[in-house]
Amino acid sequence: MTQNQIFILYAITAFVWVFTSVSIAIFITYRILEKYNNYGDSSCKLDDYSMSGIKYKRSNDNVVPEEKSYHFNVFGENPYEDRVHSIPEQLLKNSEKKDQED
Amino acid sequence: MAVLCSNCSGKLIFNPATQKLECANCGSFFSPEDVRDLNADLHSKYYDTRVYICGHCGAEVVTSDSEASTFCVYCGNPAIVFSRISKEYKPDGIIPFQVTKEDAIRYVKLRFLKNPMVPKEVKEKLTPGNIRGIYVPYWIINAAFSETDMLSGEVKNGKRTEKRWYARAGEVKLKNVPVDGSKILNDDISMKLEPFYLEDTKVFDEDYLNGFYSNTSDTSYNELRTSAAERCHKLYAGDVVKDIPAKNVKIEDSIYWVDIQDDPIYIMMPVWFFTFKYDGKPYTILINGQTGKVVGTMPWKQKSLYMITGGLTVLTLAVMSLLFVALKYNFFGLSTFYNHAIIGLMSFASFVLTRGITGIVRIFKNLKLTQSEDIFKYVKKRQE
Repeated sequence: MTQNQIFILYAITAFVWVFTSVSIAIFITYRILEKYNNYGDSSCKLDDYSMSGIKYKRSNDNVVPEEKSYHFNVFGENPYEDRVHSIPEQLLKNSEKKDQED
Repeated sequence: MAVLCSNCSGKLIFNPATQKLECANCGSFFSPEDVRDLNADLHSKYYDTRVYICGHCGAEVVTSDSEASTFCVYCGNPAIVFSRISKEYKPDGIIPFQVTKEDAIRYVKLRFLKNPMVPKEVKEKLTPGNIRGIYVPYWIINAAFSETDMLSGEVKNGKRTEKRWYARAGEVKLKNVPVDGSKILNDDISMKLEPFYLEDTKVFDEDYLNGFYSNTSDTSYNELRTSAAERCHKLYAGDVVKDIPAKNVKIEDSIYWVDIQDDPIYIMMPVWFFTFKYDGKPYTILINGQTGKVVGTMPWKQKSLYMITGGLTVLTLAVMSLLFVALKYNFFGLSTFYNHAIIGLMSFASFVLTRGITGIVRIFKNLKLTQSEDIFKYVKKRQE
């Protein structure tokens, strides 16, 4: 093995070693900040608010990305467009206030 | 307005520990349901509030009794002036505070204050004077939600990993979803405060507000629908990815709609706000007034962080050097694994580095949310 090859081998090893050390140090720092400084990530799931879960109208695996426009065209209309509901007075008042501000 | 003690005409304050109104003067206590404000019209849709405006961030701080507000509960600035007495719509219900101010301080202490990276000045600011209880308005909705997604995921094919595409369209019926009804609170933060347990909801009685601040709902119906759609999308997205038979599933594109069913319920939820300034920036840590859940990111001493990261790097480097010596001099026959070790370490380091950097970026994002001026700017942006 020539001197150059030995040098390159040592340089690669040193890079791997330093890279691994810095990576591990950054990861542990993140875990420390996560544990001691950051709190309250959301823990709510769909099951907490729905008894029946998602009912799929279409469930296709192995589609091609070009199918997206077809897929969105078929299922891309507001299914609730014509539904009318009663709105609480507080929300109506806020809407009026917003209209006046605009 | 404020209800007075029937024994001594002293001011009554709601005590979360006893769930009673207590007289600060003579110590008598009463159930909120039993106390009747002689000035109040029981059948009125409205109740009286005192509104203060913060000259710094523009927030409206609302109190229901005669207590004067001395600083903004959102940004901690004392530049707050009395604006008006306002009649507000009575909410349908209220979850009274169950966590006392002392408990709230204890929960924050338990979470953050043993951490040597939290600056001493911040620890000293955790006093009863810097904590305020606010009833935050929420709308409880029942909704039908429909979403169409294009997703991608990774599947093993022999030794190779292939990216595949998936299509899903579905509908879900949701019940009792809380949606934040106030623009001052970022929806991401209010979502983190959950869960609130609706079983504790009482019929709204303004006596529960005594001793606390409140914020009335200022969102329009369209804004509520937008917030509700985002809220439902987050819940839906968490579930739809589980339906894909692949790894590292991502939603590449989606469209969705929400239909809020009749009569959303207007409820006041209890939240403790701990506001302080550090290094010229305002911070707000929130505590769920029902469960005690702490939400927020504490600032840290930069010097401590650099020392920890530097120390860990040196330590791991020392351990790695020992491993190198073992490989080099063939201790335990390790040198035969040299090439495998290099490849393995690089893969491991890349994985760990990605996780570490992604995590730190997320924590910085949360820290920005905790800095309430940023919350306010975010809210302003949403209003535009």
